[in-house]
Amino acid sequence: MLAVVCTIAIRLAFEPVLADRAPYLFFVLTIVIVKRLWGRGPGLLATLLGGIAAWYFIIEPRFSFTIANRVDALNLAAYFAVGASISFLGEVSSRLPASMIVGGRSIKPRVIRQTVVLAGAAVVLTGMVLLLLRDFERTQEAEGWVVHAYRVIHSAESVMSMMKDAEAGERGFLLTGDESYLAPYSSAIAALPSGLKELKDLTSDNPRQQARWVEVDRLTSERLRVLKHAIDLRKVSNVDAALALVRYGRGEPSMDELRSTLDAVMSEERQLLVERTAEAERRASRGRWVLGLGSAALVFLLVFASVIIERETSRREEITQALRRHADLLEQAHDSLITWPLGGAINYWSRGAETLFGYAREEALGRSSHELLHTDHPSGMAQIDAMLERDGQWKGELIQTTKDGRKLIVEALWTLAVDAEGNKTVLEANSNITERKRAEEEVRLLNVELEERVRSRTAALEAANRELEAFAHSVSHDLRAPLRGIDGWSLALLEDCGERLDAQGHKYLDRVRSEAQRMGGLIDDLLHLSRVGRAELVPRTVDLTSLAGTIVARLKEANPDRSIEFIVAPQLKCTGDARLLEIALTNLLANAVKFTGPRTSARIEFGQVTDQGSPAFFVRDNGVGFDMAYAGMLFAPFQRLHKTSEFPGSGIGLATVQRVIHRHGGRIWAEARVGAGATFYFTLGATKP
Amino acid sequence: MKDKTILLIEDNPSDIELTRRALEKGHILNELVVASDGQEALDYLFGTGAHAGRDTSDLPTLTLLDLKLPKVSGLDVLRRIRAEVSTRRMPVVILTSSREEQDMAASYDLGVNSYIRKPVDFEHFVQSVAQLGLYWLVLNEEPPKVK
Repeated sequence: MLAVVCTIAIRLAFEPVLADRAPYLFFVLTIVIVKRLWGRGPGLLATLLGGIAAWYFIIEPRFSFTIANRVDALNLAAYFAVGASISFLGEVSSRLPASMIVGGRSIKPRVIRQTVVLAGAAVVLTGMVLLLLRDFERTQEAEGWVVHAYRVIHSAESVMSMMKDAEAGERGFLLTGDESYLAPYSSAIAALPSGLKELKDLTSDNPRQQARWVEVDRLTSERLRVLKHAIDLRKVSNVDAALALVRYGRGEPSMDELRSTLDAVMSEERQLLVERTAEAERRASRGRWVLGLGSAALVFLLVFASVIIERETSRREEITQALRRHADLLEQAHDSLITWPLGGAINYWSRGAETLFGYAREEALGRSSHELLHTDHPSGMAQIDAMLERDGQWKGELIQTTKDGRKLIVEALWTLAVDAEGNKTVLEANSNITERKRAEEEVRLLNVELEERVRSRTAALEAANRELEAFAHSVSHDLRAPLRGIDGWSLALLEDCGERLDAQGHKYLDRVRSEAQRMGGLIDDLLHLSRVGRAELVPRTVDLTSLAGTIVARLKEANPDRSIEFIVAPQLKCTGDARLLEIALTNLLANAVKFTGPRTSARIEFGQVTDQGSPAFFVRDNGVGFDMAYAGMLFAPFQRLHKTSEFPGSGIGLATVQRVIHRHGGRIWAEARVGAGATFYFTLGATKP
Repeated sequence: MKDKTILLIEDNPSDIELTRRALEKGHILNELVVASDGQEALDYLFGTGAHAGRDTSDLPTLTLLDLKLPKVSGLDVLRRIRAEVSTRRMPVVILTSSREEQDMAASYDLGVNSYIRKPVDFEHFVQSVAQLGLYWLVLNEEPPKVK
């Protein structure tokens, strides 16, 4: 509304310049602006209000809704049509989809916009030319009529002049009687009919002038008759009779009448001349306007078109730049990138591909990728192409051959791209993994070798184990037999020849027997240790609390005269070999019993702590303890920290315990102080049942 | 009780003598037949070799078998005894120094009646042998003879 009011104001401001010309120009511009800024509805409203305003304020007659002529009515209708078109056209173009499908081809909106602008320019140009041509013809015609008017005037004047010549010749002759004075008369008489005819012909378009011509014709012939009569009279009579005829004035009135009639003819033509000149001038003026406005419109459209083209050009430039950047990046890629339309020949061959396969771009373009590279896959390339087409992607390892015949193992990632027109392009990205494969193969071979080595080592170990077993067998049998003999025959000697030996002899033989038996014990312990090392591990969940309870009961029974307080923590569970764990726990608890011997109130505890986040079990006693300086010897076989006379034992026990713990993947350590008891900790590794 | 023989299969002369002594000390006075290797034991039992023509129906009431023997091992002897119909039911006690698990397992698998480990302490040995004799020769009912 405001826009329309402003437009009216602007239009009225231009009034002195434009008068009643181009009544709609500003309103159309307003519609364009309003439509652009606010859309279709306001555009239509501006059209309506602008039309009414122009109709009321600008079109003649002003300040009324009266239409003076058909042209104004048509103009108004055209204005409404143009305004509505502007309102709707913009809407359509802004609502256009990304592309339109026309005749199976998609057309972008910018193409449509360009076409519309150029078509507009063409229409304006054609219209302008047609209007100018028509105006030119009209101007020519108008100018023709101007010339015509001049000719009529000239013709009328020449008739008048001829009549004056005839009259002058007659007067001369009448006065002098000299026939030579009759020459102008004669020539006028001769020329007059054609002069009159010309005037008649020239005024044939105008009935009023024709009527006047009839009068002129009548008056002319009448006058000529009078002149001829006077001449004839002078020839036959004297000068006075003829002069008398002139003096009485017969014929004068008709000459005046003729002059006034011819004046009327000329006056009418002069009037027509003014009108026609104005008409010609008006047409020329309109031509200028058409030329000016048309040129302005053309300039506007051309500017618009050039803006569109400029924008399009810069957009293309940007796209080209982006494409070039992408292409450059693709070129930078180390991997080989190849594209080809599905089933077609290579149409892109990256620098990476050149480097990898050795074929220059010119050599590769236009060739079939599979043929060029001898691409090979165990399941056949036809199948792979089919999978690519079905899934849109294919990943895998392929064999390809370089220009110099080297076979490469490549890791392929092939993608099928489909564009708007349905063309399918394969993007073949291959990276060379030959080296990696070779390294993997090397690793595999090394592993095989390693496994082989492990197997042979295992076999060697097994053989060593068998030897050890044989040795143990032999030891247990062969070494024990002589000991048994020593003991047996010593006893036999005591029994059978006892009376022949003195007390000293008896004592020595007893010593022999005890040593033999001690050695038997050592052999038994060694065999035990060896058995712990060789026995097969059968892991399962072991209830250590109940196991410890059983052992404690056994120990109490074996030491009925000792007063020992056993504290066993509840619900101690672990995973391990129950038989071996029993051996270990028995050794630890028996040791505790042994080394608390001097205590009147012995206290032995079995429980669990957390060591570095994993459970550790412990056996703690308040016995004699030991010096931590010797802790390192604790678990070695036959190593003892106490004298045999103080605490009997072979020194095998803790070695056996350590072997059990190690076989479970665990750790054993001790904390002690001389006289303040000892604590043995052990963990069990992640042995699964 | 006198007609019940004991077969001792043992290669170590000292052990043979000590066993004999232990039996005596345990008041087991039955006839003691000694085979000093496995082959000799088999010959005795099946009437072959040096014992050809022996009445093989006269089987020992108790056989004490050592495992470690020259020529034919104790386990092989046991296997043969258990394989033959005539000797299948014969009571056999392993008397050995070995306490190797595999020896014990193999012996029981082959159907031994008892497994005794000879202790180093001779007094213990005497006690073991005395109990052994008492059990097998007195308390135990002999298996029926194979027809």
